[in-house]
Amino acid sequence: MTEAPSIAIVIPVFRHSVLLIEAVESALAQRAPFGIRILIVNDGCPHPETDETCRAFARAHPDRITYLKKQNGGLSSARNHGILYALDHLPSVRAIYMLDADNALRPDSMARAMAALDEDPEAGWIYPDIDMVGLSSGHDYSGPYSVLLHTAMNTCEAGSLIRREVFEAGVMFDVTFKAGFEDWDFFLSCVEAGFRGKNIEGFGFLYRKRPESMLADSEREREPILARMRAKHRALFSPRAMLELEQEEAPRYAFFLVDLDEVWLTTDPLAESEVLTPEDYSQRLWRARSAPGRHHLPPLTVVTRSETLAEAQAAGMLHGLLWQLETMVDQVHLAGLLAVHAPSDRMGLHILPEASRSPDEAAMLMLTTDLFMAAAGDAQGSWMKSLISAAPQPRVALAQVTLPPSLPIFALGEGGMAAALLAFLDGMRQSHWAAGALSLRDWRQPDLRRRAGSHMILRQRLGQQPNLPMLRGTGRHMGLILSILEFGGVEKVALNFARAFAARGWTLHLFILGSREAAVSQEWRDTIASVTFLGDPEFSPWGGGDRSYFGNEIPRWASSGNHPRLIALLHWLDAVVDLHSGAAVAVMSQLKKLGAVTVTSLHLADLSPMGRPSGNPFLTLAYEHAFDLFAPCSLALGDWLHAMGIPEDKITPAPNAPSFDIAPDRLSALIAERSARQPGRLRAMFLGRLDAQKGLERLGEVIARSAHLPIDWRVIGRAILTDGAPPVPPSVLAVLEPALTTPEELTAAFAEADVLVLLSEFEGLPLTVLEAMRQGVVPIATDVGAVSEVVVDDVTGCLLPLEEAVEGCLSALESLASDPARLRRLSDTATATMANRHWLAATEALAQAIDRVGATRTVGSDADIPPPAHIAPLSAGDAEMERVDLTPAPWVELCQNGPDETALLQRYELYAGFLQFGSPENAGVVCDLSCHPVRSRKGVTTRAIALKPQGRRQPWFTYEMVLPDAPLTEYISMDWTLRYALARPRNLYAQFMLDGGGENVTVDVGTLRGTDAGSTMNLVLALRQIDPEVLRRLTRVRLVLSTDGELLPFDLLDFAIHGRR
Amino acid sequence: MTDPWTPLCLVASCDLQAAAWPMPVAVVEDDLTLRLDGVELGIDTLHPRLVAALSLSPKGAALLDRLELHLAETGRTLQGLRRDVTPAEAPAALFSLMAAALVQSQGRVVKQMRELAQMRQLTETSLQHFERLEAFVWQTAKCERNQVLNLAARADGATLALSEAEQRLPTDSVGLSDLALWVAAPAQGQLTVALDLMETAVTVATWVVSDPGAGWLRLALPRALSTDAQTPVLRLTWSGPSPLSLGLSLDHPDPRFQCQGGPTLALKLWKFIPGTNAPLSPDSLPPSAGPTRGRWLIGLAALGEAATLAADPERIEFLDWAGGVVMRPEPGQTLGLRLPGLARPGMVRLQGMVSVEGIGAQAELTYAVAAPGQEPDPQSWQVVTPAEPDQLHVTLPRLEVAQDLVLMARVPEAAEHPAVVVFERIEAFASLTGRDD
Repeated sequence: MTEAPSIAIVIPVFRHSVLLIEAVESALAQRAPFGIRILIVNDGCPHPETDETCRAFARAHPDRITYLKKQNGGLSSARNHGILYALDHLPSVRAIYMLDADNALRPDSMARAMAALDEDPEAGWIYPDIDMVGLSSGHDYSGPYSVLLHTAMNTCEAGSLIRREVFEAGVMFDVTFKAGFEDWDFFLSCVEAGFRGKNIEGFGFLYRKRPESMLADSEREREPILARMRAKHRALFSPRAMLELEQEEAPRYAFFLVDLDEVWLTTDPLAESEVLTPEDYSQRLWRARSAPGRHHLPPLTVVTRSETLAEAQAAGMLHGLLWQLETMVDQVHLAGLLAVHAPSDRMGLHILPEASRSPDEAAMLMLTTDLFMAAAGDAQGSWMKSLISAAPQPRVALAQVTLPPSLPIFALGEGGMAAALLAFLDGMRQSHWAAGALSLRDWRQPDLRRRAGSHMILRQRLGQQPNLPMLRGTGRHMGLILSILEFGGVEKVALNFARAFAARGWTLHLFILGSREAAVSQEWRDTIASVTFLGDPEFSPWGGGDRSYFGNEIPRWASSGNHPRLIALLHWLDAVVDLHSGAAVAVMSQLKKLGAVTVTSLHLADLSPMGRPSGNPFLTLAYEHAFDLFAPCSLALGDWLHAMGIPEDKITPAPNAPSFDIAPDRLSALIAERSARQPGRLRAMFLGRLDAQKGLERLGEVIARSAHLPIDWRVIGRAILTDGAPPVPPSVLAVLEPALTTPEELTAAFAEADVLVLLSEFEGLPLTVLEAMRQGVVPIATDVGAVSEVVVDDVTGCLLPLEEAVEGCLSALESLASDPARLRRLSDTATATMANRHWLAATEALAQAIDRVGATRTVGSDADIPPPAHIAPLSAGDAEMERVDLTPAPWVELCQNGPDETALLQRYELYAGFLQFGSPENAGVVCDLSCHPVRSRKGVTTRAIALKPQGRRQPWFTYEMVLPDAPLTEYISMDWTLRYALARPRNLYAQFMLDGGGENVTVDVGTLRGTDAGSTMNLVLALRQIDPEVLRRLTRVRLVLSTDGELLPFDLLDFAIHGRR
Repeated sequence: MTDPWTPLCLVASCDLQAAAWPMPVAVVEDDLTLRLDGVELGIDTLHPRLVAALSLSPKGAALLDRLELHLAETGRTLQGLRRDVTPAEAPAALFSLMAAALVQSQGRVVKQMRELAQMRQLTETSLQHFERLEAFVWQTAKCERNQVLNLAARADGATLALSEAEQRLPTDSVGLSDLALWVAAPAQGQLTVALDLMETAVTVATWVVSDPGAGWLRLALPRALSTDAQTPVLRLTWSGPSPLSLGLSLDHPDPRFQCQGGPTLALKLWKFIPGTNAPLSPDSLPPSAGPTRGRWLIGLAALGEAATLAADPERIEFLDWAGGVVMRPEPGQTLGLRLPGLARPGMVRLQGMVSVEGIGAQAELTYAVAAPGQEPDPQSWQVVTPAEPDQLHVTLPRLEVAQDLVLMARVPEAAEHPAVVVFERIEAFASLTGRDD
């Protein structure tokens, strides 16, 4: 008797009755200091010779070979069969090796692989280099295992030695992967279960490579299979997770910090980096040049000073600038950055005309490491040296950052960055490692070349666009999206949103989409962590659109802009608040799918020149699906949204509050001063933009006609001098004062006034009114927008019908000027109304709603799965077709029999001729089958079948619903209405399998997402797409549904089938 | 080696005592449990060993029917093994089934023997053709091993003081035929060089060199390594009173190519047609074990190297286009080109193509041997004219120690014209027939 085996080698065989011999012989020839059991799994091979060969081997080596035979189920199924046998019958087995019947092993393979597993407890599996025979070649898969790389390519061959614990954790091969890449899927499942791979050189795996093989087939089917994998392993493929993997495994940048003489390898310069000396980096560089698949090197090289990084971070622009430079490097050889001070408190980012400044003036230079390496390999280096000449040969693009005077601009130190880059290059060129790296290479082809372009992996996931190199950390991040940032009401609301959410622990980030400059004041900088300019010259919030939604224009950028670029900038955020940024609504749906909670903050509808209401609230109606939450600034706007079709659950008003704070004791003092004020001339004030919206003509008339009254007027604001703007009336000009911007100036102005006059044409809920009322200034305002929510006529102020605004205003002024008691009463009520009106309270409901939606949001996405052709809607003609109910009668009876009906469903045994259920085949799992009532969210109760698996938990299950003897030629299609009643959302992978008359046809439907209990999914099997000759022979239809690894104690399902003819 | 196979007969437990069984019997119980000698066995273990399944009673038959149904779930069957018989018929049935199994097995053995014979014939034919092909290549191309790598010793003279070291070779093993190390200074002691293949952990050759001299130490494999691509690794061991200094070459950033964590060894590598014999270069050492080949080739590289050292470059030079060494003796002048140490012990015959150019030219040519520092004493001269290329043959007394090989050409004093003489590659043999002894 041989010793108890430590390794089981599983050899599935199907149609390789002769080549199998070499595989088995190579397994028998293993030289190892431990026992090896060979499990040959005959996967229902139709060749009798296979059975004979397998039996002959089993008879010849009864103590070393076990022959297992099963019905055909595909490669994954056969592997699983062998694995389960090993788990159940071979307790001494510590690892299982997968050897395909047409491949082979060298004699020491298992001994080496087992030694490697023993040496490294963290390795879940040992994978080989691949030495191909037939079409012979050697392929190098060496180097550290990378999950990131594994998401982009199939780095681990199935012929790996896999630790027993992997299978005991429930990871098995997915039997629904029949077109290849099942090994890729399997190892990604291993990763998700917490295991990692490890390569060893000289493993001794021999792969029989033929010009045409299943692998070649799977390459043709690559995209659909990849889409399935992305859907199945959404956590791994989530861009957020990939960015973290990039930092950990394949950092994007090598920062050469001139002042420190250090090289930092990192994606996010604020994260922990590996720090090297230039000498150590030179070894890395040349090592990666020598074996690009084995050794990672950051794909982008940045030359700068540590102070520059610190200063860019202090300005909140560090990550955005790196992102911008990376974009530029795609177009030119080098991208550079320089900084200037703005005359006022503004920030900006401009692309300078090419050759307008010397590259040596840049404070930061970025280039691809490929180019850097090529330059280092160029002995003369004259091309790159021309950087510091008057006519640089490399194409250089420079971006100029504008910073407020209070922030330091990036220091150059001694010598420019171009000179520093050349010195750095010289160091690399003269490195003693260079000659060796250029001369000697390993003989195997570096198959993991993508290691050298690791940043492209994440880019590929995000529409080929550079990704903001910012790690999220553990906090919650909210992005505020603005088209411009100046001094408007929306910007004030944005600032107060930012403050309110910052107070709740969120980290705030500001994104300016439509402008390259913004008034990012100190207040903003104190509140937000970063500010990033989109810098897309094509972006415009409005205009250019050739489509409309109920008469409201869809901006051109929303239809055809570079959406991936903006998505790549924003995808990592937990919440995105769109503040009237117009066309940016187009990316919200994708952001939502990528895990962000999307919010639109709405303020008011504009009026077109002809007086038609338009603007952001109308645009959001067209993109209702893209937003999780609508946050109107007033209750009135909320009602309007609901009336226009936005579900009530989505509407969470965040009513406006005063835009700046006044300390409570200071406010009390101001109110006390007002109370103590002696009656006198009425002090009337207008404060705001001097434009048509604000009713400038009415104001002028009121001022002119009130000259006889005891009133002192102040008009504070800035005239808008644009074409078409009405002229400022002389009566207004006579009392016009410059605009005020600081809280102190505004507080003082309100403290002095008795009444605020605002005769606007249209408004939202004006902040000026709220700020005035807080200090006891009585508003006299037109009844537009949501003004009436705070101005109640003769209670908190004077509310005027728009049509009678001038007369009403004059009347109110006269009354208040002559009646100090009334003035006092209204003032007191106004003050009291505003007592608890502040932004923290205003945003509380919204914050709770964001938390609620965020809790249900999955990080990953199946957004990029192409819609399956088979569930495309039928044409109108099809809808007219006769529908025949094909739902199996036993199923209908079972559902009608009520809750007491139960049965035992054996594994892979047809129940009542139509239903079978499996967990990994032959795993011994059976199910209790019973009927349960299911109540949908709409309150409708129906019955459905409950399947409760017995025995040990398994990572996946399949259901097969079978239509035997289906008269397929009678129908042009079959509609399957599937109701999968779920305890929580999960995915199902659906395939139709048709067979009969020696034919097999598989129609992949794709991944279905079940969301709520009772939700239905409609699947259409288009029979007319099948070759009529083949269709004639097919007799049986199976719908195979596979779960994706989330086992639930109860799975409920119901379905109906209708044929169309 | 295969383990012995014990055929089994399967019977229902209720039938076990109904007959005497002339062979081991496995029993199926009512609950379809299978036992052999009282030990429960899985169907996967038992099924391949069955040659018969007998029922001796209706109950036994029913039990085997149930077992068949169960086996069908996994695609197995008792078809062909099954007999429903009486106890008296059991031995005959058993023998009948055994005979059927024997016939089937015999048929398969005969079929496989025929296939083997076909394969053998094919292999023999292939080998014969390959031998002819090898001979043809040898005769036409002269089979000079092809140098694929030259990592010169560092200019700074840095060396490795060897006691033990390992060096991965920067190439695959396919066709690898020779390698050379740079010995910086002669040393007393014994150098052992083993060439391993990483993937199969096989040592394909070992060279033991005593008291190595300075310069390139070329180590040769008689047969170039096969098409099975693997990673070659050198293992070097030195035993001697003081370390052996081996020349170092480039610093390599990848530790896999570093020797003892330092620069790569100075190396030369040669390759040839994978898996084929190639004549040795006379300046190379064959492995210490294994048959010694009696063929050498003094190739163009050796001729070129010697020509560069010639004292009279005006008259002796190596020309690529001429395919060898060109000498220009004047009437009455004898020219000689010395190839140090290339007359190897065991050589008895030399042959090589020669030609003479020039209108009216005539020259006498020969190969000679001489101890280092000694003048050659040629035994015979062959007259060659411009009419056509000729083949120069020289027989030597069997050499016991290495000597210098000298290519010699002279023009008779009476000749009216100088001659241009070309010596091409030279083959050397340890036997007069030119075959391996």
